[in-house]
Amino acid sequence: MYNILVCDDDKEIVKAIEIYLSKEGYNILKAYDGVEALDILKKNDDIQLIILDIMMPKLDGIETANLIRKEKGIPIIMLSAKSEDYDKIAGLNNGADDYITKPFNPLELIARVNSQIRRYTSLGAMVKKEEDSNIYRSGDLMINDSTKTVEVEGKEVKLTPTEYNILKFLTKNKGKVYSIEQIYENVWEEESYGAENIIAVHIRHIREKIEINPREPKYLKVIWGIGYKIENLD
Amino acid sequence: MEKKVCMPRVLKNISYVLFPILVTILVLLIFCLSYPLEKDAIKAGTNFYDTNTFAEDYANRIFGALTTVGLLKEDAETTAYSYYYSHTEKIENNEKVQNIHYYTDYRGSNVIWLVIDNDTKEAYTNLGYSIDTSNLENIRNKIMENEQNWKYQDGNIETTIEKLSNENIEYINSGLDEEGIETIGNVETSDLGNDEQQDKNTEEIATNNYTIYTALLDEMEYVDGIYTDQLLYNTLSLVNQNLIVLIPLLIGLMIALVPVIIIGVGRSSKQEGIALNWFDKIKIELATFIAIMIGCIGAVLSLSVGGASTIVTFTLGISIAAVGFLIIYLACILLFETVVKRIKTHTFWKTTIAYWIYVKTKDLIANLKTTKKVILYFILFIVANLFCFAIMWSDGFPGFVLTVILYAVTLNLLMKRVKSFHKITDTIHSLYQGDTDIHLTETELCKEMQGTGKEINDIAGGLSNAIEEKLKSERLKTELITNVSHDIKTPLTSIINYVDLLKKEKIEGEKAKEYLEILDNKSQRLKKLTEDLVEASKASSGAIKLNKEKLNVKELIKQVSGEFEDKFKAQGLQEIISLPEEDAYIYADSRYVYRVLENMYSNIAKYAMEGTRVYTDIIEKGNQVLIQLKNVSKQKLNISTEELMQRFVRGDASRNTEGSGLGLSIARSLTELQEGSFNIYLDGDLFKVTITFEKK
Repeated sequence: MYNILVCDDDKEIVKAIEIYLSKEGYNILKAYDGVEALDILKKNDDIQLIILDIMMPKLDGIETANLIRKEKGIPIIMLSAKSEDYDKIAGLNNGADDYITKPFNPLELIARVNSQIRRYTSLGAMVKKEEDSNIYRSGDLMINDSTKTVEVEGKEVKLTPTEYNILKFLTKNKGKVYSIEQIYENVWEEESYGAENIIAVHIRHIREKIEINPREPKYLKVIWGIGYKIENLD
Repeated sequence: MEKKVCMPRVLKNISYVLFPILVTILVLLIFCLSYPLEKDAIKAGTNFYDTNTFAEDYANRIFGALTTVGLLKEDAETTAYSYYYSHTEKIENNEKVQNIHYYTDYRGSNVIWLVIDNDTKEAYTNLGYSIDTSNLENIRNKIMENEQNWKYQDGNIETTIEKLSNENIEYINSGLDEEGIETIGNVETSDLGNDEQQDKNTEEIATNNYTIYTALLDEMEYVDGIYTDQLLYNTLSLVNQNLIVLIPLLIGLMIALVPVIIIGVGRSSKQEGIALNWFDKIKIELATFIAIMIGCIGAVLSLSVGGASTIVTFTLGISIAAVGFLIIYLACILLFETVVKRIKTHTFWKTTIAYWIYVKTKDLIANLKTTKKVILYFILFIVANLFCFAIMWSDGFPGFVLTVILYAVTLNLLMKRVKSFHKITDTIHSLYQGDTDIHLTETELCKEMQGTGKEINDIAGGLSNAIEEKLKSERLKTELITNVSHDIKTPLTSIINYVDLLKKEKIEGEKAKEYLEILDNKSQRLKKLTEDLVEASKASSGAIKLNKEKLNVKELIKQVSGEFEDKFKAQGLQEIISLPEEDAYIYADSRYVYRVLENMYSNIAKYAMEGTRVYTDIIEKGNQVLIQLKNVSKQKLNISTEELMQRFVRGDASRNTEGSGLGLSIARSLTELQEGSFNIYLDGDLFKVTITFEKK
């Protein structure tokens, strides 16, 4: 059983998170400000994840994260009503591993918690697997061309053959941006005749399958007016 | 209390007193130096009565007396009537003299005489009635009791005057001949007759048997040659030597006094700086007139003293003249002081009548309306021009030069005004174009337009202030909205989560489930609303950092329509896209262009009538790229496009569906932020949006 420390000055929110995560089989430790969170961390060595609000009395989330990072490598998910870009950047730069804005979707929260726990406990510790030439990878996205399977953070994702081909092409060339036309010509291996928004539809479907929040994709990024790419996360 | 003394003022006053004294001395010196006197005698310290000058003067008097006697002998009354008065009396005595003739010179003389003609037994004297003249002895005594006397009897001279004694008789002898007369001849004798007459007198003395008694009055009563000579001689004796050296010294001293006076003028112990009195404030021309008037009084006074003959009247005259000169001097000081003070306080020009006339004229012109002014100037120009032509007509070249100068000056004046006018119009134009950071330098404008220039500056300043205020208040509003939305989001998180948890509880009853569904919907909508609110305020206040890049609009439309295909299909909407052959590029921030299109597409998905077609066109028009979206509205659009664009407004009938109503407003703000334009066109149920960007 993994222990998760939830820290928010709003007790009801802590309670709600506890309900959701308990159902997933996590043990929850509760704190209502930064100082309390640091106390619990001092006493308890067996904590695998911290969920931290930013705006808290006594010691705010940013400073708390900073202090934690000085001693421990435990993953931190920031949870805040501050939704501006610079708030997110500040959070991620100060030791946070992920950033969720309030009001959050409980399912998204659970998915992100699972993802962080997985990465911290198993994947992170994992010695690099023997690399098959048929395996394409970006971060926790893995495509095994021998078995025609796609795994995201250890979970298998089911894709249609077209979606699979598009994703394989982009992952093979991760980091590079391809326009609809280029993707079409490379995947179908025939010339495109304009007006092909079919690729865009497929891309959206892939995003919905592999991303936790398709509106803010982590792997398959849309560069509007230019094209698509698989983010290089290695 | 110690009285403060203003040193410059004291020095000045001393100088004022010193100055006329110095002038007087100087004038006297120069006068004395130019007067022919025996400088050797002065140097030797000789008594005046022992000098040649005195001897000559005295001799002249003797001749004068003889001339008078000659005249009286002939017919005094007719020959020189106007010069003297005489009358004759019988005399009773034992000296055989029968008659005595009294003669009085109006101008008087300090030398008194008695001449007795031994042949005719007639006596002549210039002594008046002041003594008992009935006795000749009395007269003789009266004369001879004076210290300086001279007597001639039977060819012998008895005298106290060394130079006219027997030892020096050749002198008087020479005086008695023709040559001598000429040598000695001076004013006194020549006044009494012409050369012919003098010759006759000499002859008379030579031939007649005269006894002559003469003397210089011990107490001189008249201002005559002897008196003035003595005065001068004594004065010169006082200063005696090195007279020439004294003159530059005096002049130098006078020059040195001038700055002392100038520095002292207007200084006072009572106040700092230059003290002005009422006189310094009246017009300078008037002040000059007053000073001249006062000076005239002095002049009249000093000129009134002419023709004084006695010493008393002479002294009185000198005193009155001195008072007159003092008045003139005071008038000069008055004028000088006020002029210096005015110059010191830089008010000289301003207190002249000329300046007053200048200012009044200027005001008069300034108060005229511009049209009248132009007419006035034009008339002036024409008059000047005619004048120039007239000169040219009569005297060719100078007239031509004058005309050229007139034209050049007029053109220059006109150009100055035209330049000012251009500056103003240019400034107004750039103001009109939105540049509020302008400033007209007033001094560069001609006088007539300086006021306008200042007003334009004020308008520009006010405008830029207003814009700044507006931006500031928009920023504050955005900040407020952002902060409030943060505060709303925290409780909202709890609501959403607990609604979600409630839904997962096994709740009995259909109604409870229905209510829960409503709660879920509304809390989700509230979430969307807060997000949109922040975005709308950020977009409209421009508080968004743009990251512009080159975008392909064709690609963008394909991507967006791909994103929405499922939603469109769900509504039975068919999208018809028409794209240009060539790629169309614009320069914008891809994320925000997508936000604009996303808003429009989701609007279409929400409000377009089911089963209709949606048209998406990309049109290249000149250097612009137009994205046009057309669809048919589900509901009647009974509001104007303007109202539709307002924040929070949606088609009335659409109110109950999801969304914040901020979509169009956000889309427009974001487009305009990226220098694009966003237009909505409504025609019946046709809803058309045109988004225009500049082509790259």
